[in-house]
Amino acid sequence: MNRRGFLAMAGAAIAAPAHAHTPYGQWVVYRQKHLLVGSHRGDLRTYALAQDVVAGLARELPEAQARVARGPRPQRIASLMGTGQLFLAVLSADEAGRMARSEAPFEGYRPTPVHALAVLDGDYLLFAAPEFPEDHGRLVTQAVDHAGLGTAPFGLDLHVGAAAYWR
Amino acid sequence: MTTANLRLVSCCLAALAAPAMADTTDVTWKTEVIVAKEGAFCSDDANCFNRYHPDIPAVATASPGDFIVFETRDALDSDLTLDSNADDVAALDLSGVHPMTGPVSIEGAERGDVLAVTVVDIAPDEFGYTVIVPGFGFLRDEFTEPFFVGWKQTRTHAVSDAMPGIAIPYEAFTGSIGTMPGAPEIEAWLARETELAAVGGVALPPEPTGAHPAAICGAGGTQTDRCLRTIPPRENGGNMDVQQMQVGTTILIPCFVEGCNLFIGDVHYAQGDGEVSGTAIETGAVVTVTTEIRKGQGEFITSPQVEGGTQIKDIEPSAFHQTIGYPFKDTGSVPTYHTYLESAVIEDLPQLSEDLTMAARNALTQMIDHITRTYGLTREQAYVLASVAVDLRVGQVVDVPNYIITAVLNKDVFVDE
Repeated sequence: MNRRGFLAMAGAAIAAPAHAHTPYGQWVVYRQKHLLVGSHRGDLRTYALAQDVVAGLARELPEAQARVARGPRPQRIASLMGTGQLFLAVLSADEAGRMARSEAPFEGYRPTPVHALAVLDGDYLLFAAPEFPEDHGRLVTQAVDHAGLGTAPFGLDLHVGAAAYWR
Repeated sequence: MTTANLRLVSCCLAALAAPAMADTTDVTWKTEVIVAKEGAFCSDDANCFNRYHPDIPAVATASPGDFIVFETRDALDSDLTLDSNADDVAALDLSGVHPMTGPVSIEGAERGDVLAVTVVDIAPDEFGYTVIVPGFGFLRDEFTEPFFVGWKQTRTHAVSDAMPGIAIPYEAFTGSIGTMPGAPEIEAWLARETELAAVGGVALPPEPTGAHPAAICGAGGTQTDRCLRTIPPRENGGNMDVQQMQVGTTILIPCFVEGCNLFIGDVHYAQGDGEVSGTAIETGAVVTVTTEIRKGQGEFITSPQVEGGTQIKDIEPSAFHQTIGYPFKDTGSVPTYHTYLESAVIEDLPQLSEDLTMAARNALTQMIDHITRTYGLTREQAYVLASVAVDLRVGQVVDVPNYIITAVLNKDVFVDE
């Protein structure tokens, strides 16, 4: 898939699960229009790194119209990803692992699979929800790499698109 | 020495000479029932819920005449702070609205009664906010990006760095106040809203994600598919967002269950009639009310009503600017509010007949134009200002086909005017 098809595919592939969970239809439209990169206020390093990723995507993949979404605490990432409202996020590797295993502070949330795209700043992960399309994952990973923001993850579950890129 | 200074010295000498006076603090008479806020979020709080169902138990009991103190959360459940921005709005999870405090059972109240709830006091938090949420609000097709305004609040005014030159008067009310529906109401309201949703109307079905109490309304809960959302106001009150429900007014609400099970939440520090951006100045607060049972009055009062006095005058502006809206439209367009009707007639018309929604839209867009042109605010700032300080009012519903809605801007909010 080419870059021009990024948004069109977002609408087709991501809208269906999102619409099932959000109360306002046009809120879904907003989340189709922009590729949201999740972060949270409990670890403001995630916010800074998400801003870097968005800036990199603006240069390398402007079709994504990426922007940062900052939740109040890490559980919001689990809640939004678990309900099809968010598909890309930055967490520390430790926090991402806890989210995947439903460990504190993520008790009460279903385990949220963490499919890594890139390692950011040594200890942080840019990762995607499993349903994030393969081509999207490849394009985002490529953009992050070209922007000099991330490196290949090792020993982690890779998103299928990221695996195709880093291979 | 000036006269004023002499008066001060005289006062202080008198105070020193006077014998110790008894303190009045210890003389009390009120019976208070406090419904406290516990934990950071509604999910942490046994006194908080965000869906309606009669199985949700009362968390306290009060007698008529007791002072019931509700410690309430903001409509979005404490997500935002003074240093928030549009990035925080983009991460909102709207499945959590509205966190309600309670419910409180009123001794002696029964199904078929009316609960008269008098608002005694509303003590707002120091912080409030107004946001534009994409996809929400009266002009949701025009304002498609998130926007955030944080307000610093006192008991007189709210001000914001994002809204320079503006001070919004304190005119707080309970955005949501109501009683718990009974089983027959759940069935009837679910049925009618399902029917509306089936034809494309904006009606929200039960949503277990983010629902509290989770054991009843959440995924796998005992009533997952029968817990009503709090977004629409209904016969039990709830999210009415009517600014005339000021301190001192009495709100009459039908009772549907034993004890009525009264709840309060979603306090608005201030709001224009219409709450057009989708949010007022949203805040947490401590709300004190008293109740009276009006036996058997549910036969006559089937939806909420309000009794009040000068409160309705106290919130009026001392100076205003008003725009007039007619139900005109662009040929070749179907207003977003009418799409579900799938009327082939609407699209080609240059105006609608007897249509207050289109008239309101036109009054509001003219007002936003006026505010941006006259006061130099951005369109987003003007939309937010309209949400908290512009009243949409019915001009007339008789001069066919052009019914009128007006938009009234409270010019008192401009500090330099």
